[in-house]
Amino acid sequence: MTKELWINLPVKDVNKSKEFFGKLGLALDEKHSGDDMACLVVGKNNVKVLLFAEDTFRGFTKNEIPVGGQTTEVLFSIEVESREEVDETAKKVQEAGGNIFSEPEEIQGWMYGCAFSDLDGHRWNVMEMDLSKMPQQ
Amino acid sequence: MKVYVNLPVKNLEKSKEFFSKLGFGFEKKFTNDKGVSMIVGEDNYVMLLAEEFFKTFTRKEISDASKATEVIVALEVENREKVDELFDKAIEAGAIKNVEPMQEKFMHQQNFQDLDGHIWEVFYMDESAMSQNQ
Repeated sequence: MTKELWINLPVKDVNKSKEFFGKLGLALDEKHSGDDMACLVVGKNNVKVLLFAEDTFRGFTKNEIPVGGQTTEVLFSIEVESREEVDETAKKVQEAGGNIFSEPEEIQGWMYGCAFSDLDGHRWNVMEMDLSKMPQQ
Repeated sequence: MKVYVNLPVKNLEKSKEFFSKLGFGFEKKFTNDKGVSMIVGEDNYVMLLAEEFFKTFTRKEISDASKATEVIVALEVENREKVDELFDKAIEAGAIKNVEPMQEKFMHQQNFQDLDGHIWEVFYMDESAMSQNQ
């Protein structure tokens, strides 16, 4: 029924955010990018993350944007292939100016991950999952 | 690499029922009493997480989505009719219409707010008409 999933996020400075996510290794889709928006392509499923200037975003939602990352409405999880990739991503985030609020660690015995907030306070986590160790319910 | 969207919900059962009415299925493997994993498109997931569980990951208070919006989760469908079809189902299941639909040569779009106020966009994009437009 649904073909694709897209994510739309407000950012204060489209160029700075484009640079930030570029440093994390996310690809830019030039075709869907413009002056007040940038389109990132994430992962093997090519999920598109559109970064919009805040005013443009408010025009879509007719609503305010949460103030300065004080509260949060959404969390994005990036699944990676290995623990090393989690560590590498955490390093890249720090170098690019993001804020690691949870250092890489083992979680519940079957995941390994870290969590960070980006330049606008949007929250992300990066995880490696070993489904063979996942507790059965 | 793969990306998942996690959204906090007040009442997991009600939200699951809501999205079932819209035609979404759930992945049992990642579903328990704290969260459900909704299948979107070919192989993407939107995780609906009970608010308390959600907070353990974000370590932040949850926004009041009726007052401020941080994200629009958008669903691309195959044609204009399916946009209206999915939107109508959402309204019937208790969603609120967010803004007037957008109807353009290359795009048709409807927005709604779900039971927790999260904004969803349903759209169809005609890439061929879009490139002619430029």
